[in-house]
Amino acid sequence: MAVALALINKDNSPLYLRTVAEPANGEVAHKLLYMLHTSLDVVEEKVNSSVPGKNDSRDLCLGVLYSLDEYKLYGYVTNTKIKIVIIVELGVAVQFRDNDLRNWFNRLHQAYTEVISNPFYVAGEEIKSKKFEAVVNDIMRKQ
Amino acid sequence: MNSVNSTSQNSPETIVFDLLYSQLPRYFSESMQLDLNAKVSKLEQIGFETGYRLVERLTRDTPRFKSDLDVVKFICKEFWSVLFKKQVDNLRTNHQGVYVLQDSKFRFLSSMSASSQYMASTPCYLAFPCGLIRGALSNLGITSVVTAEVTDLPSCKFQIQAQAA
Repeated sequence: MAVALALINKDNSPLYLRTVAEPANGEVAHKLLYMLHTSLDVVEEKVNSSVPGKNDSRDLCLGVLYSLDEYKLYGYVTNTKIKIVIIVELGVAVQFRDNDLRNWFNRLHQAYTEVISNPFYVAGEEIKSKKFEAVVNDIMRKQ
Repeated sequence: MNSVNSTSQNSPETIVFDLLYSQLPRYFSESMQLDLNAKVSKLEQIGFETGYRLVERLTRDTPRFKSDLDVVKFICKEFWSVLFKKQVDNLRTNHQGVYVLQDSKFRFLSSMSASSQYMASTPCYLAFPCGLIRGALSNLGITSVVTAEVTDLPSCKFQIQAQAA
């Protein structure tokens, strides 16, 4: 469903990056990675710009960040400032509901808390966990 | 979180943890031959790591914090109840980054005899919780220095000095 996914640390260094693009198809992969990275500004803006009483949403899920060409980007920021960004193709995005999206983010967040509870994982390192990978695979699989 | 809260003060699991915890400072002084300062900083470091990881899990379903005060309130309520089975009794702040948390019956000191005899050994037993608080705050985006102070067992005061970001 999702075509690209990123987990980004509080200091904006990547913890986990994944795209569905074939390695041979460098152009698409580049484009997706580029979109993931540029979306960080929007995430920052959404988190910091909340005017009290106006849009002071306390929701961890930020919803749609923006759409570009045939892609749509969604964001999520945990209380510990870990950012999760998911890219979905526009054709797929019209089909699914807000709930599905929240479900994805919650599962990723849960998987991440399990990674950080692992005593052998040092905070800030790249994530290499089979369990985490399984959750990601499930979200990215073709339907 | 509910299962942790519902366990009574004297359930086997809390006792096991309390006993293990009371052995930690002794282990460091007897088998590792560390002096008081090295011991305190070691225990604080362990607390930091624990708090850092723990808070990631505890904040999973909480709404986003809007200010540092929100974060400290979270520490006083949820964080404290999970770790110490009660909430902080009193929170004071000067609104400039200093927070004083007072607990009138601190879990790790409650089994100590309330006399001045053991006052000298309290720093070892408070280094770990200081580290826990500092680790939790650090993961939530507040760099701080946490110190503890005991004047009257088993009550205890924690002072959080937040550093400007």
